[in-house]
Parts: sequence; C-alpha cells; structure tokens
Amino acid sequence: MSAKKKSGRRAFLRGAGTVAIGLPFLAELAKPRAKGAPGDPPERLVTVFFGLGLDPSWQRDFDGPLQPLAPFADKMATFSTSMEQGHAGGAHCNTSTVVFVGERQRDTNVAGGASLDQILRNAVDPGGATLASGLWWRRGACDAQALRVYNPDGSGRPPIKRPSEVFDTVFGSVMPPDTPPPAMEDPAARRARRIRRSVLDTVMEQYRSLQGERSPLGVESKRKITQHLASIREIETQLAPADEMIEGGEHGEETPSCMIGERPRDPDIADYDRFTYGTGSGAPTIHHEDVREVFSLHAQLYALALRCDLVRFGNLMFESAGGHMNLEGTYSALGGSTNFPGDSQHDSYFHGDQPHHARLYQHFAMSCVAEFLAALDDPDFREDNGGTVLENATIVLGTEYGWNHSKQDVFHAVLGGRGRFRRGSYVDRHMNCVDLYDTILQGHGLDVGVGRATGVEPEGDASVLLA
Amino acid sequence: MRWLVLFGLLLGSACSGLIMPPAGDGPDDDDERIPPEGRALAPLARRLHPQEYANTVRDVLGVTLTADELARLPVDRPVRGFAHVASGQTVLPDHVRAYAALADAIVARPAFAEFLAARVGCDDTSPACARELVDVLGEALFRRPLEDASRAPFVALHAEVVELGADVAEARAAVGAAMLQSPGFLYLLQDERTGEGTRALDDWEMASQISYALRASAPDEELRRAAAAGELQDPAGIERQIDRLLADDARLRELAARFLRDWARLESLPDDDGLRAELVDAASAYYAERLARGEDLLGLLGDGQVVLTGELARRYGVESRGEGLESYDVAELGRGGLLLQPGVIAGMTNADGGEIVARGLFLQTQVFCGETPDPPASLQEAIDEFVAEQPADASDRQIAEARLERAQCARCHAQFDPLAYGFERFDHRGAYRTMDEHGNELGTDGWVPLALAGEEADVPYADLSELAGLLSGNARVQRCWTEQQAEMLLGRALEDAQAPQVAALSEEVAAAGGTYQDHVRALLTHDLFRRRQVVE
Repeated sequence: MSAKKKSGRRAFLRGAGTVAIGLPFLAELAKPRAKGAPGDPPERLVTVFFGLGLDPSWQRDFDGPLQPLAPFADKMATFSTSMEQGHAGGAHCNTSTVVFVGERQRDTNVAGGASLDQILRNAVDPGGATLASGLWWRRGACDAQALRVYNPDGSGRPPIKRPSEVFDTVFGSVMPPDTPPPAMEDPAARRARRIRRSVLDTVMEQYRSLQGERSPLGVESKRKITQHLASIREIETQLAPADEMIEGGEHGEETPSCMIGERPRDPDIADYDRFTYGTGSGAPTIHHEDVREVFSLHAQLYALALRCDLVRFGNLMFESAGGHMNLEGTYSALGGSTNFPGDSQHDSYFHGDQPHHARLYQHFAMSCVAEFLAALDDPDFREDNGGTVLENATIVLGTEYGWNHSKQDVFHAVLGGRGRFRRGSYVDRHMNCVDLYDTILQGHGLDVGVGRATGVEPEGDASVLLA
Repeated sequence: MRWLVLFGLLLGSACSGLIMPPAGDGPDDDDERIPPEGRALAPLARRLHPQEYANTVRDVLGVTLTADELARLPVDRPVRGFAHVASGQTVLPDHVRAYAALADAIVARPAFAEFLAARVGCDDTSPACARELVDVLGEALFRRPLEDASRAPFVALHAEVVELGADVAEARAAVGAAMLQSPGFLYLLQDERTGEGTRALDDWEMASQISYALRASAPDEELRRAAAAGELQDPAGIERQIDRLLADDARLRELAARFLRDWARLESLPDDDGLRAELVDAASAYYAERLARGEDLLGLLGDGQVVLTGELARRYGVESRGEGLESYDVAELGRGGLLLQPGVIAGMTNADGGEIVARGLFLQTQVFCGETPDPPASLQEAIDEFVAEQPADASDRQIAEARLERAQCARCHAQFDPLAYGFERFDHRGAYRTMDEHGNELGTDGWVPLALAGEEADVPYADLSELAGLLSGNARVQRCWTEQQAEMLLGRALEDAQAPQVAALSEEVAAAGGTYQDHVRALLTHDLFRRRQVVE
C-alpha cells in the first residue's frame, strides 16, 4: 500500500504557529511546578523505544545506522548494555517488560516495577501527565511487546496509535481548544466550567473518602480506588480546570512556544487497530514513506505536548518489540539501498540474518527517531531558561536487543537532562541496563536501586554519565 | 502462579499438565493450610464492565448508549478469557475521560430529566428538593439507600452549583454527572472490614451481586424490594429471585452469548475473510439456545449438533438449508458439539504457534483449567532451529510429532498437543477438509495425556466423537466447567483456596442435571457467593 494522503500532516504543520492554544492547555502551563526555582523547566523524562535492536557493530559511530542521529551526537551519551531477560513469554515478550524498567518481570505482561519515567513522576510530580504513543503493530505473543510505560504494580499503558487520538488526548476533546483565554471567557462558559469543576471535586472526594482509615474497603480494593483517583488527577485540568489553575499562573497569554494547528487527520494507512498474533503473517504491509508520515505526526505531536507542558513523562514508540510492520518500497541510505520486502523485517532481516538489509532498516528507524529529536531541539522554541526542550528534558533512547535477539550490546542513549548528564558519545560494553537506569534516576536525585527489588545484579558503573 | 512454581519444584518441570489454579485476584493465601471446606473469597472491588455499564444506565435511567459512545471505554484485560473479572481491571486516564464524557452525555438526554421528573416530587433548587433528588438518584445509581454521610456531598454539590447560578436542570445534571463518575456507581463495593473471619453479604450487596450475575445490570424493582425486606439472606428468598430472573429468556441468551464470546476468545477474531460475524453469531446462537433449553452443559461436547449459516454450512461440508442461522444434526458425520462449532474452532485457533499448539493450549486451559508457562527464553534458539529444520510441505501434525521427539519440547507440548490432533480436519475458520494445502492426509485421532485424563496412561481417541465422550466423562473437565461458570457469575478469578467449594459445587450440579440453571442455583445459594473474608 503506497497510496499516500499527505493532507493530515500538512494540515497539522500548516496550522502550527497560527492558532493559540486553548484555555485548558494554558491552565496546564500554569500548574505549580514540581520543584525548582520559578522559571526552571519542570522535571521531565520521556523514553523513546524502537524495536528489533541495533547492530552492535554500529553503535559506536554515526556513519552507520546511527547516521540520522549525527546532528545530536554531541548532545547524547550512548551505551551498550546487557538486557535482563525475564522467564515468562518467548523472545521479545521476555525483554518487553524490562526495557526502561530494569526489574525482572512478574509475568508475561506484568513488569517488575514502574518504568523510569513513572518512577520519576511518582517521586517528584505525581500529577504530571503521561503520554504513551507511537507507531506499532505487533502486539503478538504478548501485550507487553507494545508496552513501555509501566505503573508501579507492573501494569502497562498501551500506547495510542492514531495521531488524531493523541491530539484529542493531549489537547483535549472534553474542552475544545477554541475556548477563549480566561480574561475573555464568556460568563456562561465560565459558569459551566465552574460547575464542571465542582462536579469533579465531588467525584474526587468520593474516591478520597474510600482511601482513609474509616474506609469500608480492604487493602486490595483501596489500591484500585487509589489508582482510579490517580488517573483522575492526571487529567483533572483537562477535564475541568479550577479558577486558580487558570488565573494563578504566569502564562495567562499566548505563548509562542505553545501553538497548535488543527486536529490532524490520520494518514490513510493499513488498519490502525490491527494487531498480529504470529510472526509476520497478518501484519500490515506499508510503504516506508507512509510509515514515516505517521511517525512524523506522532513525533510532532509529542514534541508539542512537551513544549506546551501538557506532558511530562511517557514513551514514544517506533514499532513495538519484535516489530512486524511489513515495510515495502526501496530505501536508500549509507551508499546502498534495499527493497523492503513487503514482509516482516523481523522475519526477513533478523531471523533471516541479513545484516546489510537490517542495517538499512535500522537507519530508517533512526531517521524517524531523529525527527522527534529535531522537533524537541527546535531553536525557535526556547523555554524560560533559554534551553530547548531537548536540552531541558531527559530523553532516553533504547531498544530490546543487540543483534538478532541477543541480550548483549543493547543500545541506549541519554540526551538532555538540563545539565545533569555528560554529553559526547562513548560506549561502555560492560554494564547491565539497570546500571544505566539507576544512574539516570540518580541524576534526578533519586536513589532507587533499580533492579534490587527483583534481585537483578548490577554489572558495571554508569556514573560516568553524571555531569 | 505460586502453584506453578510448587509443581515445578515437585516434578522438575513447570509443565506438569496438572490443574494449576489460576492466579487469584485476592490477597495471597500465604502458606496457611487450606481448610477442607475451602476458604471464602477475599473481597475485591469490581468495576462495571462496559456492557454492564450500558445495561445499568438503560435499565435504571432509561438512557440507551450508542455503540460509538460505549466504545470510548477501554477494554479491560481478560482473565482466562473473561473481560469483567476484577483482577484484570486497571484504570487509566482513558477510562476517566470516557466516564466523564459518558456522564455528560447521559445527563443531557431527555430520558434523564424524565426519570427524575417521574420520581422526584418537587421541581426547584431548594435544599429539601435537593435532598429528595439525591436520595432518588443515589438509590438508583448506587444500588442501595443512601445514608447521611453518603448523601451529604451530593447535597453540598447541588447547593454549590446553584450558588454558581445553575437552574434546576443544570443542578440535577451536575449531581447526576458526579454520581455517574463516583465509585459507588462505577464499582461493585462491599463492606470488607466489618466483623471477624468471614461475613455474609448484606441484602443490598446480595441484590447487586445476583443482579449483575444474572442480568448484567443493576437490581430491578423486585430485587430492591426483596433486599429491603431482608429476603436475600435466606436461600429460599434467593431461589425465588433466581427462578424469576432465569425466566427472562432474552437476558439469559444475552448472558450465554457473552460467556461464549469470552470463553472461546471470539472478540479478537480477525475478519480477513468477512466471516467473523457469522462465526460469532452461529456459535453464540448454538450455545445460547441449548443453555436456554436447560440442556446438560457437558453433554454439549458431544451432542452432534451445529449451528451454521449458509456459507458456514458449505465450508463445513454439509448441504446448506438456507443463508440464515440453522441448526444441523451432523452426528452421523462425527462432528457437531460445542467444540466443533466453526466459531469455537476459529477462536481456539486464534493464537500463536500453529493450529495444533493453539488448539491444544486452548483445550488445556479452557476445558481442563490447566496452565502451561510460555517457553523459556533460553529455548528460543532451539525453537528457531527446529522450525528451520522442518520440511516446507510438512503437515502441522508431522511437525508436532517431530516436536514431541525432542525432550525439551515434549516436556510441555506432550501435555496439550495430542488433545488437538483430532481437530486437524478443520482449518483455522472451522472449514472441513481431508487434506492440507501440501496434499498431506489429515487424521482424526489423538490422545488425552495421562495427567489430564486422570489415568495411569494416555487415553487414545479415534475421532472427535470419542474425544467428546472422554471429555464429558472427565471429572476435571466437569470441575473446570463449574469453575468457569462460577467465575463468570462472580466476576472473580477463583484460586486454589476455593478448590474444595468448586469440587462440591461440581458434584451438586452434576447430580442435579448439569444445566446452566443448576449451576446458577447451586452457586448463588452457596457460601462461595454469599460470604467474603473480612480483611484489613
């Protein structure tokens, strides 16, 4: 399928910079910051996942599959780590619950703990909004293949596949983005919003009342109620911002860095809702240019969400673990080309042990990831401290394997972090993913001991990452 | 999972093939010995399944939600196939957003205002009228009369929005929207901490539990009357309600169809050939009709009947009697029965690993309530090598037999693959064939592994009729069927601590006739349904 309808992305990009973001989003901007001095950018940590791994032969340099990331080489630290593998589920399932988590899995679809982004969120900003989105089809042998954001109880958040749903989720469908700014708010609309807030306050109090000592519920039921309340808190300003959330912040007017266009139309590609159980068969065949178009929308939307401070934590996914988009079309890079075979990259290139073609596939994946990084690093959109989102937020790139299902030499990279982390590329081949994950959190002032909860032993020292 | 490890230690393998009670959804039982009579279920709040949500607002408020509106609610993770089981539920912001949007949609419907107009004896914004409004809505949506502490927040909300300038309709909508998003509506809550040891559910809790089990909806007027009269502590009072509710044929068929869709994994069937709806509808119709007729459920395994559309009949190898759903007697062909409905075959094949593996695991899990762990990661290379070695024109059975010759594979596959051998004449959509695409002859024989058969040796079967006979006479299959009916009715995953009660119920049901109605009567009057542990 190569027929492309570009209007979705074009419309979105055409709109960028032309329409002021709506009231509920300004409300998000005005939320009290988690910590730090006024004007400090908030604590943010977003992971970026790409399935199927990266050839270890090319993890040191930027003249192979990593070439698209070369513009960011002096802004990142790269690592090759070993990946802890669980025991439940086959290949891909057993690493899926470990990437960005570090703990051993509890079950096939249950991680051993929270993902990095959620650990930081729970520690410094429990109300910080989370977004899990991206492009993926293989759900396959286990749901976890498409899960990269995990809650403390090991349950995962499925990523949103349709760009339009990302837009609705982040930029609000309950309160449309054409809501006027507070000073110009229509009295009737203002009253409706306040009523709505009163309703939400009552609802939240209902959940709170079941958490206390006098609750009739036991521990397990309380846990469910607590989880429900946490989910309300996460989006409460989207559902019904309170007056002080709107009027009390410093961003009461249009912010140039936070402008959105119209709701994007989902490019017309294979069924977004489709997923496969097996390896390859049944997965959609998609022209690589169509894939790029969809992922570009995801990348732009995610970057905008971070820029607008509507999202602080989460994951952007370029194909799930064991990915099975059946790419077609000729792809040229690195002085060569490959005809994507129209069947599974996983089967043809990795099980088929064709490193040359796999390398070009990985180059394609990195070129998509680079688009996200470029959007974050847009110099036209600087935050209060003068830095770009890429410089201020912590971005962790990672994958599931080294070469062809090997748990060794699994590529990771760390970018940004507002000066917490050293930049410049280097590779340490003697560490476990938990060493790196733990160090990233240490950079944020957290001494979590990733892996300890489930007995994963550290193997190396990633402290060189810390500035 | 605890049992899985235990058996693994005992037998040197995680693949014992013995019944592995599913991971329970209550607190761990620690190492306390399970008493001979079993242990009461630990309490656990259960959120309404989307269909229960829709039924409730329809039956209580008269508001019918559209499929598009309902589709806003994320689907919960099924536990052993059942999507309404409490332990599979998690709440994400998507749920919250959907509940908010649905609440707004419901209170904006004329039916909502009409419901209140018919029941609230005043029409103003006074505190007295607010109190009446809250009592009426609260009892309807929270499924029990409100106490002062439960009433107060909503009366306060009413006053608050009136102060903001809300008129009568707006204030009522605000109270309704708040209640529809509150835990008292969205969750089936019980008093979990009063008393010591175990406690009997009170009448209102019983009314809700009975109603959601048999109506997938809130208690109707008669159930509420019975609860108010204290009749639901008495088995005779419960049986009166059971008889009344089971007489609702339409609701019974709806529940039966839902059970089959969940049990046979029909919801996730692909539709590549455009037959999904026919497969689901035919299988659901087969099961619902026989359940409603009060047939012995285990007897369905070998009843020689099948429900087909015209297209399905042609694919099944029988002469079509029309394009609509028709029941066919195919006993002479050695086909028919619950497991040989084309939709059920499609459902059991709708998983990883090839037809035999998928079907074998389904039969082990859904028919025997067994469990097999996923292959360990350390075997992946060996699996890849094995797959690469198989001739391109080998049949699925030939590959399976080769697999059993490898000890590390056979350890698990021997426990379930042979169950499925006899199904190979049916393709992944239930179409009948005698040769596969490579020209290999397909057989009908196999065996029930000894651990599942409960015998000292594997028990062979020559064809699927024989297999059906073996299954319907198998005590473990009988217990498993009872266990799954109980899980469906309770919305809970049972654990090993409830195995004694399941065994007793299974015998009671078999003695009574083995029908769905027998299951309902036995379970709903049993302590497994009526009592819960008291927890901290």
